[in-house]
Amino acid sequence: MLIRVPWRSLGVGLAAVVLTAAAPAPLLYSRHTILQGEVWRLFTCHLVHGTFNHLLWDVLPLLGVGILFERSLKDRFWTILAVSSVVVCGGLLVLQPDLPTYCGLSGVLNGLWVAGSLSAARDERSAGSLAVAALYQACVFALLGKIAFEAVTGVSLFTDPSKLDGVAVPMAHVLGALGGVLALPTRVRRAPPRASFTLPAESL
Amino acid sequence: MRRILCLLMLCFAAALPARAAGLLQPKDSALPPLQIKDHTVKVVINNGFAVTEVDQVFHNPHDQDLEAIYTFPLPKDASLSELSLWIDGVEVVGEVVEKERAREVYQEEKKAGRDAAVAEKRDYIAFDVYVSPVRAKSDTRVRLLYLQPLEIDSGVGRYVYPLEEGNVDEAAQAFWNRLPQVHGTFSFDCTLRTSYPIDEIRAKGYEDLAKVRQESADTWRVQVLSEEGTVSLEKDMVIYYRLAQDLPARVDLLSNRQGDGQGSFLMVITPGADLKTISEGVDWTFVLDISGSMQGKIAVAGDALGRSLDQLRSQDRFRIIVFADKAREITQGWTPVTPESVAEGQRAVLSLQTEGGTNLYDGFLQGLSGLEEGRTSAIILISDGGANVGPTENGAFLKLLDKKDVRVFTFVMGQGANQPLLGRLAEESNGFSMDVSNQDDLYGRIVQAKAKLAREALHGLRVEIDGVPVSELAPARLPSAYYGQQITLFGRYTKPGEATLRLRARISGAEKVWETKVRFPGQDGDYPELERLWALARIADINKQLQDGGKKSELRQAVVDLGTQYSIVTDYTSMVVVSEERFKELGIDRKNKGRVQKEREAREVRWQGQPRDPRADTTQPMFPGARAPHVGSGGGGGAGAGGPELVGLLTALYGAREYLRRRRGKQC
Repeated sequence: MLIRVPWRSLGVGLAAVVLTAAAPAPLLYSRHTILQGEVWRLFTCHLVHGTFNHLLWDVLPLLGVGILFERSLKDRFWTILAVSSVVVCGGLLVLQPDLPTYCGLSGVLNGLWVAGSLSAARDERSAGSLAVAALYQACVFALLGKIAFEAVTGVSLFTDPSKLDGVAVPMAHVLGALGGVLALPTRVRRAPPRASFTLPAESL
Repeated sequence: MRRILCLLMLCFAAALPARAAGLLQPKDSALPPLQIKDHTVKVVINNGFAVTEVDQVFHNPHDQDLEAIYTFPLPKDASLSELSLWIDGVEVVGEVVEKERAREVYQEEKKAGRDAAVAEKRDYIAFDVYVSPVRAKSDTRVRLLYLQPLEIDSGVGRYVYPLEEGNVDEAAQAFWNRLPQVHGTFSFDCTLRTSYPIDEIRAKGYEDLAKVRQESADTWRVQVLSEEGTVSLEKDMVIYYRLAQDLPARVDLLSNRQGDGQGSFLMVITPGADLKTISEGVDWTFVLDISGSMQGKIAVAGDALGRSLDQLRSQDRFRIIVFADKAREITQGWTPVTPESVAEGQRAVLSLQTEGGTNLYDGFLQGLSGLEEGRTSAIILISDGGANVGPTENGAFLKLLDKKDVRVFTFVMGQGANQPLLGRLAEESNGFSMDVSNQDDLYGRIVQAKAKLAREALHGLRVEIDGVPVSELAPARLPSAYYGQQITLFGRYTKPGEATLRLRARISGAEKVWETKVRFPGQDGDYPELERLWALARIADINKQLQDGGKKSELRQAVVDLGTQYSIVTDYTSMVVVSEERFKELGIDRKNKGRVQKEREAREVRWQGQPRDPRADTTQPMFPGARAPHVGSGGGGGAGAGGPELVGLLTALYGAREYLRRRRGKQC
């Protein structure tokens, strides 16, 4: 079983490792400074993590999501990443004004998960692999269930808050998933192959 | 769950009475009180400590000379280092001598009709400044200056200019009248200079008059100015400054060493924010002061405690003990948390009435009784006054703590509460003590307390410094550090050089060590005040031994020696001001005059330059990658990621997909 290397996710993960190690303060989500004009933080904060644990348990699932869905997402991976980034931070600015800081990949990871599952399910359905398509659809429902649970209870599943440098932010997961759904229709429509082709002579 | 403490703080502090510091006049005098003509306060907060300068002009509108007594509530950990009186238009700086000697000198001068002043420390409560004479129909100007180290808690610095006096006993209340009104100019000017960026500043107490502005990248200013003679000094001024949210956990070091002699240093360690949250059930004992001083506050107190009970979890248990002349429990032993028991507890506390004196000892004793082994226990002790019934010595209280496995958290309300004792109880039990001013921004104090109680703490702290000879560290024993708290250490060093700094602590029973290199400079004259601050920290250690029943004469002498050598007003030393000629005649060495000169010059140099970066572990961070705790820090994307479970789930998903694909391949 050969695993296809998820280059895009790997790149994002490496960037996260480098930036977290450098701990560049000007890249974090800081409500105060974003409102003063430092809008780049809307994108960069996702690559910075509070602790090593936080980084590890964001990057490993990112690679997992990459292995599962990158093949289907192709370059839409970047669109989803960008849209989810903005939706997560923009949403936090509006909906959670009491949250002064935020960092980590978890929000956008939810976006990649939901968009990746939907996209992969569509691809598999087109290819006639209905069982695999159903598996991906189950992934979407599992994610929606997780988000709903978090939204109702305020408890972040799979997250040990003590290993974060702060508190878990379930709202970021909701927003990330929303970003993924919003970004999905931006599928690059390639021109369909021309119908004019010639059949091999022997098939005639 | 631990909002309980916070709610208590909120409601109790809100109920504290405001008593103004001001000029006092004997009641038996037929004359109305003297007036405070001008009250000018200048504060400079620069790298971890504050210098507060209070300049007051008193006016005597009467036809006869009078003696004035100015009472100044004692700020926590403050060292009164200057007292100046203007004699014949010239400023004369005071000198510190033994308390009895200072009184004799003052009385002698007063009797002879010569200008004199003396500043005495009244326990943990206040500085009393006696000035004589305040000439008929004229003004008298008095200036005092004190130093105090400031701590940053969860990224927020807090400075209090105390004006609300507390714990003035009833006899004194009856004997004196007080007059807090300023008839001329009231000005308060606080400058904050720090190399760490400040996000925001908040001034409480005089919001309607306060102007807050950022003057440059590293300088902020809070100014209150009233020239209308309408300001009443009835409220504390509280200033909060919030540092930027993403500062690193770090070690800061300030030092003072001139020539080849001993140097002094102030080390502030800010541990990282990576402390785990705790979730096990706790036995909570609420010990509440219902003595007479709680009059007018008890309804609010009951409401606060009641709402706190609402925050308990089902695995917790609670007891409520109240004390006045003696203590009594108003619950029936350990009470499991159920809706019914909480409602009953709430009813009971809402019906509380104040009574009698303050038998803190009995309240504490009852609080400690019935603790069960194997359960995590915590006592929440809330008091607004000093113990005055039953044993009141520190030693007696500390004996009660022997062999008890319980954390004591004390909330010290207002200026009058016995902070040294309540702080000591918390320290001995590895808990913490929190001061709350009436003007405190209670929401902020609540956020800070909540974060501390919800997480693991650093216990059994030890700081080791190798490579540079250091001595006389103070405090001798470091208290536990809870989330957001800094570790502050003063000391002396004899040789410069690079030292290995090691911090050892226990976190949930596990030993942890952090290490870095720091440099102690050969020459550094920027902070001469560190000598006094170090001496003050040593005196605080000695006072603890005295209160615990140590050898009184030896320890007292040690305080006197430090007080006179470093010109600090203590329980056994006072600062006296007489004319220059009289200082000479009385044979009082002008030590403080020289020290004050040096400190003023250094402050002027600091004022002109940029604030120095105090960080000492930049090249080799003591807490690599960790950030300093910050109030409201909600960072951490809280990963939908977040654990091996999710990685396992994704792996299973991958396996299932490959299985389904292979099966389909075979079918095809």
